[in-house]
Parts: sequence; C-alpha cells; structure tokens
Amino acid sequence: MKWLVRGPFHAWACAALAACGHGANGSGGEDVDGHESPLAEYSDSEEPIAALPRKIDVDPRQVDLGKRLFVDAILSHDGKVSCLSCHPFSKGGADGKARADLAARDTKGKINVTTIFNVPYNATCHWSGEWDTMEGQLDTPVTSKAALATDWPSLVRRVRDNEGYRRSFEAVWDDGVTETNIRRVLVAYEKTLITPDARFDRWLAHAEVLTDAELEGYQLFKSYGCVSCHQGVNVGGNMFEKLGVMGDYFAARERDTGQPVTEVDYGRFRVTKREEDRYVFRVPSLRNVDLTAPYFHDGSTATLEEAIRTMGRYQLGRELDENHIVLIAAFLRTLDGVLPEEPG
Amino acid sequence: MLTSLRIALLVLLIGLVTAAARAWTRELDAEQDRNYRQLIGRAQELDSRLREEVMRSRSGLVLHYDGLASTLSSIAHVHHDLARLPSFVRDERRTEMEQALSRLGDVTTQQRQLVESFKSENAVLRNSSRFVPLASRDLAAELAVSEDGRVMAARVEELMAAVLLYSLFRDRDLGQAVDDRLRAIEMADRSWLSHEDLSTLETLMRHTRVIIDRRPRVDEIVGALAALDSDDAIRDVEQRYNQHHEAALVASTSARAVALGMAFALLLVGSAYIILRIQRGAVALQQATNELGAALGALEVEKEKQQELAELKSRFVSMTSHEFRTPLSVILSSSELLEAYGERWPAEKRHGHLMRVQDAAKRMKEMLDAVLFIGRAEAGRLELKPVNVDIRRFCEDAIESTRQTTGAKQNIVFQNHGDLGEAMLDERLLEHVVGNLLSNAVKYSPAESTVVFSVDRMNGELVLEVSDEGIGIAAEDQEQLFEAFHRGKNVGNVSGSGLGLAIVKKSLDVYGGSIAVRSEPGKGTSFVVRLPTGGHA
Repeated sequence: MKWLVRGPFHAWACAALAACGHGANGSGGEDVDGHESPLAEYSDSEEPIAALPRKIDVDPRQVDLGKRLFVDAILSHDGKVSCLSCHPFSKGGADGKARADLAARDTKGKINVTTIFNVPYNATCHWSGEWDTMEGQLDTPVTSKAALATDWPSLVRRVRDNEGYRRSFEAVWDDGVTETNIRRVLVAYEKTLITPDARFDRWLAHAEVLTDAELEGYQLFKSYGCVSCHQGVNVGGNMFEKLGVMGDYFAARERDTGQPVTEVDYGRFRVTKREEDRYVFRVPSLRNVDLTAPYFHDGSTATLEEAIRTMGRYQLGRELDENHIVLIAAFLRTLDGVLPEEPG
Repeated sequence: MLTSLRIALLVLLIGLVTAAARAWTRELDAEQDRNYRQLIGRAQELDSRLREEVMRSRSGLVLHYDGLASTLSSIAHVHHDLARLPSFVRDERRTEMEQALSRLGDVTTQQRQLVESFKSENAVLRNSSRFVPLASRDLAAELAVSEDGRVMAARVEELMAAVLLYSLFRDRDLGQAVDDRLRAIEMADRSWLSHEDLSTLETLMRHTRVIIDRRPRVDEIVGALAALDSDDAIRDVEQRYNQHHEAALVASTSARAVALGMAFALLLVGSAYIILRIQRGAVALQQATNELGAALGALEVEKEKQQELAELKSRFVSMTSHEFRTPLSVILSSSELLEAYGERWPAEKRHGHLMRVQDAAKRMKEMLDAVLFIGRAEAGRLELKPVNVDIRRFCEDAIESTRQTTGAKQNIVFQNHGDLGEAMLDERLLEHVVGNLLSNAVKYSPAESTVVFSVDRMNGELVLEVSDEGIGIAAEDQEQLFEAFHRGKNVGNVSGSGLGLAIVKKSLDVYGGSIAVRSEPGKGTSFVVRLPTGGHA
C-alpha cells in the first residue's frame, strides 16, 4: 500500500481509496493490500455525517507531476483547455456553469460539471455512477468534446514529446510517460484535493461552536429526512436515488422552463439499461455545496435555497418552510472546508 | 562404449534440464498460495460483513451507507484479485476455476445491484417512516382542537398506530391494517378541512403509501440478499481451488521426483563414464608404456648397431691404413735404397730389393682387391658366373697356387673319395674360398705340419674340408670369425688383414653355401664348406 490514511475515518478512506487503486479496466491494479483495510475499525457514529480526513498520503513526485498536468492545456487536442478549465477551485472544484461550458471553445457539454474535491470519498464517479474508479473516470474528460476532446494515444504522445514531463516521468517510472502513469499522477494529485476542517467537521470533533441557526438547520436536515441520502463522510456520494421520488421533477421542469427530458436526464439508466434506474442519479456530496452552484445534473437551479426547496418537494414530498430552508442552508454552509491552493 | 555413454549423458542432461524446468514451473509458490487463500478468506469475511451492514442499515443502527459502499468496493477488488489465479493453477484447471469465479462474479453483480436498490429504497422508506408518525401526531393534535376534527384526528392517530406497528413488526396483516386505515381516511369527508391541514393530510397519506409500497420492497431486497448464495459461490471457488492446489501439489511432487530420478541417473551414468574413462586411460597408459619400452629397446639395439658399425668402420680404417703402411714403408725404403745405392749394389741385391717392392705392391693390390670384394659383396653387387669346372684339377691348382704364393713348407695333402667330376661353379668365387682357407691353414700352422684338403661330393653338395694342426681358434673368437678385420687373439706376429674369412663367408653367402668351423687352440682347426652343385650326380 503506497499511501496511508490518517483521521478518524481512515478505514472508510482506505476502502474508498482502494477503489481508486485500480486503474481503468483493471489497469494499474497492483496491490492486494489496498483493500485489506481493517473495516472492523470502522466506528459507528451517533451522527450520520462524519468528518473528512485531513489528508491522504500519496507519492509527492506523482502529486507534483499530476499537479503540473492538471493545469497544463497540453492534455487537450488544441492546447486550449486544461483540467482546471472546468474545475476552478474558487467554484468549489466545479465550473459554476449549468452545463460544461468552455469559453476557449464554442462547445457546451450536456451535463453539469461535478466537483473535483473529495472525490476519493465518493463510491462512484459522475452523476450516473459511470465509473467505479478515479483512474477510469479520466476517460470521460479526456474524450469528451466539451473537455479535452482528445484520445489517449495522442495525449500520451504530446506529454512524451515534452522533455520536462518526459524526464520527470522517467524519474518516477522506468517506462516513463505512459497512459497508465498519466492516469496515476492525475489521480495522485486529485487525492490531495480534499477540503477538511469544515466548521461542521470541527464541531463534530468538539473543536468548534455552531450558531443556533446552524444547529437548528442540522436538526431540520435530519428530521426532514435529507440525511437519509446525504450522509457519510461526503454527505452524499455513496448511493443512488431517483430524482423525483415524491413528485415528477422533469414534468415540473418542462412546465417551468420548457426544458424537455433528454438522454442525460435518464441518469443511471444510461449505464445499467435497467428500467428501474431511469432518472436515478448519484446522490451528490454536499461538501462545499455553497460554492458549487448551479445545482443538479442539469444545472437548473441557481441558488442553494432553491435547491433545498426543490429537493424537499420532489425527494421528500413536502413543501419546506422558507424559514427552515434558510436554516438548512445555514447548516449546509458549515460544510465548506479549507480549499486546496489552486495551482497556477 | 564411451561414445554411447556420452550420448546417454547428453540425453540425460537434456532430460534433466527439461524435467527441472517442468518441476520449476510446477513448483508451488507458497506465498501465492497463502495470498490466494487469504483472498478467499477475505471474500468470505466481506460477504458476511455486507450482510451484516445491510441488516444494521435496515434496523437503523447505522445511519450512513459509507460502510456498505466501502464493503462493496472491497468485494469488487477482492474478486478482481481472485481472477488473477496463482501461476501453479494449470491451464486445464484454469477453466474450472474461471467458471467458479464467473459464477461468483454474477452473484456479486446481483449482490451489488440489490445493495444499491436497498440503499435507494431504504432511504425513501426511512424518510417516510420517520415522517408519518411525527406528522400524524402533530396533525391529530391540531385536528383534535375542533369538535368536527376529533373523528378525523382519531383516524389519523389510528393510522399512526398502524404505521408504527407495521414499522415494528413485518407481518403482512399489519400492512393490511395500515392500508385499511388509509382507505378509511380517503373515504371520509375532508372538504371541511383547512387548506393547510388538507395539504398536510395529503402529504401524510402519500408518505403512508410510500411505506406500504416500499416496506415490502425493502424486505424483498433484504430477503433476496440473504438468499443470495454468494457464500456458496465463494465456497465453490475455495473447494475448486483446494482441489487444484492438491493437483498442483501432486504434479509438483511428481515433476520433482522425475527431475530427481533424472539427476540420479545422470549421476550414475556420469560416474560410469568417468570410471570407464579412467580405466581406459590406465590401459592406454600401459600400452603406451610398453610401446615406449619396445621403442627404447629398439633404439638401444639400433644404438648398439650404430656403435658396432662405427667401431667396424674405425677398425676398417685403422686396419686398412695399418695394413697398407707396412707394404708402403717396404716400397718406400727399398726404392730409396735402390736410388741411393742401386748403382753400387750388385745386380743380385738390386734384384732382391726390386722383388721386395713388387711383393709389397702385390700385397697392397691383393688387400685392395679383398676390401673391394667385401664392399661389393656387402653392396650385393656380386654375381654368380658359373662355368663348368673340373673339380679335381681346380683343387690341385688351388693347392699349387697356395704353395707358390705362400712358399709353404707344410705338407698339403689332397684327399678325395672317388670321381669328383665336373660341376657348374663360379670359379673365381670358389678360388676365393679355397685359396683363403688353404693359405690360412698354411699361415697359422708350424712348418712340417700337415694340412689336409679333402673334397667330396654327396647329396648334391660339394663338401670341401680344410684341416690343419695349427694354433687353433679360441672359442670366443669363433663367434666373430667371419667378420672383416677380425683376427684371433693368438695370431701373434703372423701378418694378415683379417679379411680372408670375411671374403670366404661373403662368397659362400652369394653361393648359398655354408661353412662350419671346428677348432681347438693349439691343436688345429677344421673348416667344412658345403656348396650346392645343382642337378649334377
């Protein structure tokens, strides 16, 4: 095992990271020990939400390489777009747009960009759980027209042709710049993009005092049942749920905005082709949710309060009090963690 | 033998290498085995852990799904690793293992789908299960304030009680009871309710329907998860693995035994080869030693011959020069005296010296002739020139000639038995034989003694015998009697070249005849010569 995890929930982190230990299609899956984590140590908390670990230990050379590639437009076919283009840290690691929207290109993606933060603590990647591993999910941004719009062989070639990268990769691996190694360094860097020390996490550790409004918001979050889905270390990210359990979200959307149902709205159905998975999405993490507007897979909702209202209506089957919405929003803002420094 | 052993060695060596390679590939890697067994154990552990996590989530003991998610992820990884079979599981066995693993994979996929469904359904169910009792309590309390609302409040309370009971126990009838209460509210007149209360009631009813709808679904999922024979699939993998491990163990052991046998055979044949080589070497050494010894002996003989030859040559030279010096000094002194005093000397004396010169020259000529004769004989250049010879007359001529050349004072007696007749003989060679024998007999015999020359013809041979009463020949001299320049030790001052008998012998060799000697020092010597005379009778 190359990395060690610290913090009270290291067992979960170990297990979740083990998922990332495997590359796409099994490439790079090297250590059996990765998931031999002592799950028995997993502690049952009285609270349904657990604090984020502060840090995952990764090879600093790989992190450094991943960081350089993350901001480098060399990865894109036209040299205009980098990973950072769609994941600016100031927008909570998402792009702040309803759909992947690249100023550098006249291209729009089909779906709202998910955050790059705290990804190791999600059970799957992307809105529909398209990928089980971080290494695997890289295929989406690499090939997407709305992202790097390239393919692996030419991406590898571009990186290999760069002498600086070539030397740095060869310093870490004998085989130097390869697809597997590029996946490794990008994932290694992403593992450092964790936002610990949120005020809520500190409160859990008895190291912070929350305001009455925030605490009331937390109680409402639990009593309304939001926490049924938004639980765990990432306050979501570990399960799937139908959008519109208690009401027809898409009909209402079409009525209000004229936006009809398209393929991306099918959600997990696109992956499993099972009818019961239609309109089912991964429950997103609510960490740094204050920063990641607009909300939902379609980016249809601009404010946190509006999102809370929508969730209450279609997921909980209730109309939430405006007052309660404000309180819940106040609680959700305590989930803002310390953001990593944006590379540049 | 050695070659076949060498081939056997080569074959065995190749066999050993092959067997060793086979044994090596069949070798069980204990670490791989341990790891794989650990993986199987881990899969079993994770499987039961997953069941436990589901039950804990189901009962609300755990309020998040991180544990479930991480267990699922771990299971996926363990299965991924299980698919990498240890190298000692052979190809033919692999398929079986892969089938078992494929079944486990299918079961795991189902398991995963069920767990995902469980999370989704359970979240919704929990939400409603929590909401309905609380909301009904609040609504009932509010409705109970008015007279009209008491009946409805009671119905809502009944609904709450039914939902609580249904949440506590899973009996089907309890679900039916909830359904009945819900129907009762639906049938009741609600038009009088305030908009707010109506909305709350409707929400309450919707959530109750969710409970009625989802509770059996969740139970079904949990039941399906419990019924999933994932543990059985893992056990199947384990059993097959154990079988294959055992098979691999047997294969490994037998491969090792074969390699060991090969090595043993190689050792055996190798030893035999080495021993044989050593033996062969000893024999060859002995042979070489013998050959060397023989060669050494031959060399010794050759060396002796060479030495003899060298001695012979030096003797020949010294003899020749010595024998020549005497007549030469006679010639020199007589010719010098004749030059100095010839005119003053009387004719008689001058004649005497001239005779001496002539004699000496004659002796030298004879000696040279003898040497040349021997040389020719040794070079094999003597040829027989037989002519018809009257034997008696030849013998008498020979005696006469001996008398004249030696001035013999001995009595030479010729004896013969009957008619000798004629024979085809090489007169010149025969002259050498007879002349030398006779002159020797005369030379080494005292004056007035008798020399007997007897001739006979018998059995196609001419037998000539010359006997004297002379000094005789010592036994040790008899061996080398016929070698050139060899002279007896008892010759005293009798002059001679030591060539006479050599010439006799050489002549007889050419003739195919033989010569024998019988002698006693001081008493006399007798030579018997036998010559083949061909068909003459």
